[in-house]
Amino acid sequence: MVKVTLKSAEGDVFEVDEELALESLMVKNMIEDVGLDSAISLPNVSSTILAKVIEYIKFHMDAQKDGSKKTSEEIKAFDDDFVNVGIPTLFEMVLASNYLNVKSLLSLTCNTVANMIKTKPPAEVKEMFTSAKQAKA
Amino acid sequence: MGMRCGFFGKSSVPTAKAMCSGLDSEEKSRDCPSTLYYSGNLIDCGPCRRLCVRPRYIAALEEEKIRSWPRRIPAPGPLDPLQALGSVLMQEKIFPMLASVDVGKCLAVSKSWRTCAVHDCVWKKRCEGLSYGKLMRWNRYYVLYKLLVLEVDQSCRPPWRCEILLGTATRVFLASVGTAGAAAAALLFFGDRFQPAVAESGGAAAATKIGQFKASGLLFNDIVEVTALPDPKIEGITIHISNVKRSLTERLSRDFFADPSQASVSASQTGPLRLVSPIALGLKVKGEEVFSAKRNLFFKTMHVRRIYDEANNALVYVAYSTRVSQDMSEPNSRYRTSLSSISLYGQNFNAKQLEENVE
Repeated sequence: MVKVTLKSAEGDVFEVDEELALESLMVKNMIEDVGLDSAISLPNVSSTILAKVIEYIKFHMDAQKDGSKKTSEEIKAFDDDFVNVGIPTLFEMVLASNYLNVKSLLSLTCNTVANMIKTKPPAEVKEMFTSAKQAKA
Repeated sequence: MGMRCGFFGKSSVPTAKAMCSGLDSEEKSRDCPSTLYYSGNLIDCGPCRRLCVRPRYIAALEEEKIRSWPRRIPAPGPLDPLQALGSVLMQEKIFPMLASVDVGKCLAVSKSWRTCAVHDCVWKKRCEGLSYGKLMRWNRYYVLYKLLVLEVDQSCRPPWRCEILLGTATRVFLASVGTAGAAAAALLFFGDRFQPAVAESGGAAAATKIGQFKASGLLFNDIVEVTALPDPKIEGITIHISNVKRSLTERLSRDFFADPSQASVSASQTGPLRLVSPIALGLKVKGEEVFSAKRNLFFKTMHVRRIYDEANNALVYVAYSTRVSQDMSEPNSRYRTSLSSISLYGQNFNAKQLEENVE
């Protein structure tokens, strides 16, 4: 199996299967341009977020394989658990998935942000993000 | 040579030697005068004639001082999605996942959210769904308002209904389209909201608009609306009313909130007749109001009244208007009535008899 080396913003190196790396359209284009010899640098993605993105892609690739025993409930539970993170991390994941062009992850994370805004009055939306900011400070 | 480092003062800087941490050991041994200069992230140490990296504690002091400066506009919070993700991502990825009502709410969150949420790209697809292609600016806000109202209506009385309709919409209109646009919006708002509200007072069923077309005018035309409403107390009878709404140019020239109160009425039997609840009978009660709609902000109303002609066994519907103004220059609608009747001959329908049964 051909391996692709991804380099995060902190300089940490992640070795992943080519099949997994090609799920990201941005990485796919990079591989087509520079080949597999050198590490692909991702200066906009931190190590923590890159690890999470890889975890997400890996889980969904396994789930899509023919012999997979994962049910749709299990996938949904994984997705719910995956986005059950703090607001800053969630935003970083949105930015990372947008940068890496992973459509399913972008859709999932954007949907989570949209759900935070949905069915809340404007004052509550404002308060939600302000209080989160104060809590961080 | 940078500007003089009067920023910290001598007391906060112990010795010049300590500050020259960027110097190598040989140069550290030299005595530097305490006058230091800085430019950007590098300290321009005058006597040494070389740039040294700023010591960390000085950088920290500087940052602390900058942080404590009074600022009129707070720094953008990293946890505000608009600041964190940027307006493009919000407009292209987040807002399409929200209903129009929720996007409408975003207009009221803050000024920057409003600027982002009111952008054409957010509303274009929603407008296309309503067959509004190329929209003028004020028209865009009209569609925005319509979308808000439509979706609020569909989502059974959310508690923030008034907040959305009065707060957000008004704010957007006032800020964006000026007084004329706001007046137009108010008309649309009141015009649409009054009609069903008053119709409900006449009975359980609400009026339905079945047709609308342009009439006189070149660019801004008068609009003729045809409305159908079932008689709230007699099942099987539908009343059709046609009335005219004035064009925008004419509104702007005079009486912005006024519409002609004259209407034409026609009643027809559209199913087997059944008395749902007792109707007013006899000469003394003067019939019963079936429908009414405001034709001005105040004191001008169009009515449709049902009268039961007991002797001839017929139902008569009369459209007329009431107004406070006694201006003789407007006789057209003030004195005009429209009438329609339904004969109940051979229908085995006796209102008086059925009234007793219902009671």
